[in-house]
Amino acid sequence: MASSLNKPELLKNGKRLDGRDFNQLRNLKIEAGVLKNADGSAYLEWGNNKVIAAVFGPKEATSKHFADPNKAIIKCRYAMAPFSSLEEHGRTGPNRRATEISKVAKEVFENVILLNEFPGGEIDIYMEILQSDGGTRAAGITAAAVALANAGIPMKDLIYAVSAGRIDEHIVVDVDMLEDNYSDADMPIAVSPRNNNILLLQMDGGFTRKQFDEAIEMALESGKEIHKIQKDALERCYKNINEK
Amino acid sequence: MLMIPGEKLFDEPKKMNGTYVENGATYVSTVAIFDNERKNFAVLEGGGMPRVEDIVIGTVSGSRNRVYNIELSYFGKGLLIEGKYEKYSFNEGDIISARVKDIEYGKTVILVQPRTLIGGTIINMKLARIPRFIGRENTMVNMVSELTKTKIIVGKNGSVWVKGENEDIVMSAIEMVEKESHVSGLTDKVKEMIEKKLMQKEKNKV
Repeated sequence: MASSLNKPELLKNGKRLDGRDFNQLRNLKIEAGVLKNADGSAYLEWGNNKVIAAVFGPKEATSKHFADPNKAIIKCRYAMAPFSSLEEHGRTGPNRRATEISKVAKEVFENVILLNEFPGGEIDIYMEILQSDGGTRAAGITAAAVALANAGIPMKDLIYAVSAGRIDEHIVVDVDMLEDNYSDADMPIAVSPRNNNILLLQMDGGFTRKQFDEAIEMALESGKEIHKIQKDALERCYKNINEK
Repeated sequence: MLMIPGEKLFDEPKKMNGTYVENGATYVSTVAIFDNERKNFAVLEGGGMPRVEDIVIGTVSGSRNRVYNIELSYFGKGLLIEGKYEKYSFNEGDIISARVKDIEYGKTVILVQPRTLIGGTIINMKLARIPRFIGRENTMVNMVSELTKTKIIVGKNGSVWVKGENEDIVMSAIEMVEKESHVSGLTDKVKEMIEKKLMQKEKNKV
């Protein structure tokens, strides 16, 4: 079993196993508007994570008893492809873990989408993990935010998500699969960068109060980079705009 | 300049399409272009709800007790209610154009002044591209209509009604507007494309 008790050496010469510094993100690449049939879509590569996100809507809510006459409802689906991982995560279908992440992602987006503009409507968000290497819920939410902007759904902000972790006394950001399984703590957070509101915070393991503050600060700092890459992806999608 | 959701547009509150107001300032809510010199703000994706006085195009999908249901593609369903002095008779599947009188509960579109459109085809396009297809002072629509010798009515709900022999060319013009709406000098480009296609059509006839 993976646990912090039988953990392998996660730090070598003051660096992480893949040679990153403590506050360094993995390579992040986003492309917007990749699917023709979806209203909005995005493809994301974050280290070895590969995620495709698609958005449909706003449309009329399909199950009437779920419909809200005052605002739109969100349906969110997080799913891992059967070939995405080596271990039990790779089992396809709605399992316990996928159901949980779908629920928390839905609640994240309920805070930023202007749902009141579409009474009785429905917005569908799909996050498919094609390849997983730790931090897939952060990758999924980051990709879905770009897909929502690409679909033209009114939002308060273009949000991002990133994970922070603790290896011994060191706080690190953007943990990968090995660090996720064996580190002392990991904490994915989703942030609205306009006012640094935290929309999602889950924690596995433990931080002291001081370590927690440091982790949040580091995550917010690296988030600036993520937000810029998201904006660049959208800009490339509409790149001819500035040519007058 | 491209604006993404969450960026501040104005320091004072202003109500416009594609924005929202918070703490007395206006922020962008959808991807849009903002031209600072001309103070021009154009939404690139999405669309939103209809406004009163808009002309929309839809098909009759049913009727009950003097109320007709009209399918309005992006806007969902509209209602056409017979009054004391207005008597309509439509069959299921008729294409009509009508004016938006009111929007109830934020979603139910009430229509008046219906007009039956006989024959022709309905083409659905992206809502955010409608202003571009109409053009400044109707330049684009008039140009396409004149060149292809078709009748065109643009509904603000994303449905375009086309009737004439060159419906296919109008369709490809709309496709072009959807794909390249952010390119400058689009009207000339569309004109070039239509002329090319018309020439080809004539050649094939001979």
